[in-house]
Amino acid sequence: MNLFQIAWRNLRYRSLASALTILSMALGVALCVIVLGISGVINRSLERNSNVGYNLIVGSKGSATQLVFNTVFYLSQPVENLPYSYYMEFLNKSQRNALHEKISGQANEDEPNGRYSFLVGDGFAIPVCLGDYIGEHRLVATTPQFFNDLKYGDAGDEAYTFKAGRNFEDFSEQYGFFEAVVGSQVAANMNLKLGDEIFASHGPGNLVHEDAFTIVGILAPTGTPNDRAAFANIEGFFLLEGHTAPKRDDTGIELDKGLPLIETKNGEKTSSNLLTERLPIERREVTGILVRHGLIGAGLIRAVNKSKFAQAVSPIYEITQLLEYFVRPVQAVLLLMTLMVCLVSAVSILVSIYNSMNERTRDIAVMRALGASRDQVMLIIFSESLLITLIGACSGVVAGKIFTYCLSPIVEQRTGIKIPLLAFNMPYEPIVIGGLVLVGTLAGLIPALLAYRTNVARNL
Amino acid sequence: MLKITNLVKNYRDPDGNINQILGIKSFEIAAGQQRVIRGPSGGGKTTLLNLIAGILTPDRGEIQFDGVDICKLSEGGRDKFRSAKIGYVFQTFNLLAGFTALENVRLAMSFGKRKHDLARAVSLLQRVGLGDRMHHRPSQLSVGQQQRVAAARGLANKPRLLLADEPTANVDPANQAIIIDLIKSVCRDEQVALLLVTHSDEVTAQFSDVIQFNELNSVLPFNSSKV
Repeated sequence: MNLFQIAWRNLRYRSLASALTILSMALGVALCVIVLGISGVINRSLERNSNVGYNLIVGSKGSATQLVFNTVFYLSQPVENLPYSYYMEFLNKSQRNALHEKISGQANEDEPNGRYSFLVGDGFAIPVCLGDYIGEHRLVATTPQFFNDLKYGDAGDEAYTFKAGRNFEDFSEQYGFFEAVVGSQVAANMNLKLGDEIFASHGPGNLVHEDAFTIVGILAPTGTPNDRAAFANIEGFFLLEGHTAPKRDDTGIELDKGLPLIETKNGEKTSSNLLTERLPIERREVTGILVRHGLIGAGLIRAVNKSKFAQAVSPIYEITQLLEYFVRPVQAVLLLMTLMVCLVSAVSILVSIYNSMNERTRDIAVMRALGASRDQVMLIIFSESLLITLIGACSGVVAGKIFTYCLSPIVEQRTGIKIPLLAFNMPYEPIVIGGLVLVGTLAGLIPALLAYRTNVARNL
Repeated sequence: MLKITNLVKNYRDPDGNINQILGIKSFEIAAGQQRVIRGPSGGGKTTLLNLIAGILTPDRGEIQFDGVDICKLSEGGRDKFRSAKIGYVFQTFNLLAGFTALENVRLAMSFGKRKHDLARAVSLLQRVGLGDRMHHRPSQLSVGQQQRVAAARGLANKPRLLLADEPTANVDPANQAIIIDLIKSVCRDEQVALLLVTHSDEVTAQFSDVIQFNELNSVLPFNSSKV
């Protein structure tokens, strides 16, 4: 028998106490593995979502974080709107001309370049309107450019694809301005399919617009917040009741509260006189502008921020700030608490072996009388703590990995991040688990020293 | 093989007085010899065995074993000496409760040079009549069977000398003679010398070479600075 076998026999003899100590260690390590695993997913998810395909979000002045939460994650309360004409400042002469022609049917040959268009360079600007909901999911009104030009993914190079159907169009013969696309989770949660009609509302339980958008596409899962949103053609969105900007004078004072409703043949009030016409530019508003700028982006941020009512924020910067100042400290606290649990487990190893020492002094004396050296009996006791720690740590890693792996389908559906069974959060996981094994093993040092000092003749 | 000369062991009583517990002018055991020391309990017989085994160190004197004075060995040296040359059978058996009979015998081998000699452990247990009880724990064995395991364990490393400390003190009279016979015969077969200490007349009667402890132990002058 070698010393490890003797230590193993000792553990087996005190099987209940050993099993409970191993369980305590395993739970601590499993907790660490789960916390580190989920932390890794949160970090990757945030980093992945910071690759949104555009550099800047332009919105009304206010909280930059709120603008990012609202525009990237579809969380928080919607921010104030910007005039559509402000969006047009990001377009060059030909783009503005094309818009004029599309919206009013008349090209404006004297249209100048937008104020910021030279800073946008060969990039793009996409308008978004937020604030409405489909059921409990946010509705994003935008242009087809959203899915044509934006990319997503870890490297920001994955194009949006459709699990079913296609991207919505600016205008179609079949559905006019009222086409929509839904994210994979929205389709699953609301059991939606192509051809279904969805009705926008101002929030769960609030007013539901009468005009429906028809679903023409269901997004393939992206692992981004877009899976949890619905996307409608901005042209149709503008035509919904109450989505018309009030008429203002040059100083910004409202002259009316938007276009009045008209009465139909049935006596119902609707804005449907506009359903075949586009809303005039001056009555349009947007919540945000997603800008991919050229090489001189810093200049664009400065230029926008000089304006009285708009701000430009970098989503990557804001998300990084969020990680640094909110997520990471919370993760650190969680990890610290988990490490405390493991420390308690290590102490339980110490207590378990230490308590057994009183009843084992005779056994140790017998081993010494049979020829064991002080070093050998010390190693036997030390091996016991090593075995408890190793078995506990291995069981904990396996349990933690299996637990996180079982969560993988849910996590993948919500974040788009797969959790492989044997993925480790490098370098933290090996360091933390290795550290725990070390602490647990060292906990056996005190009983081992007691064994070393056992008086043989007195205890025989 | 074993030669003890002017051996003195003292102890300090609770009042701080130094008392001599052991004083042996001369004592020898030849290879393969079987000797018994008879004396009352508490007389210092176990101390003598612990000194011979190198568990205790004397205050004065020499214990020559195969020409080596074990009193001059370091603690590690005495541990090695003990595992290689000495077998020990205790009065209370001292089997480890968590280990089977076979494992108790193999445990003794773990600290010597016969770590992997499973066949010898099995053979010894068969020799003491426990071939069918090898995988039983001490609690599953009778008192007599436990002492037989202890005897097999004492001989596990094929020692030169087996020290037996009142090996039948806790065994019923019917089993006493059987166990002593067994120890004697196994020692003879294994060519192991035997030093047995006892207070029992029945045990003493089974040996021809018996020394009275009070004749062996006498007050010898000692060097108090060593206490």
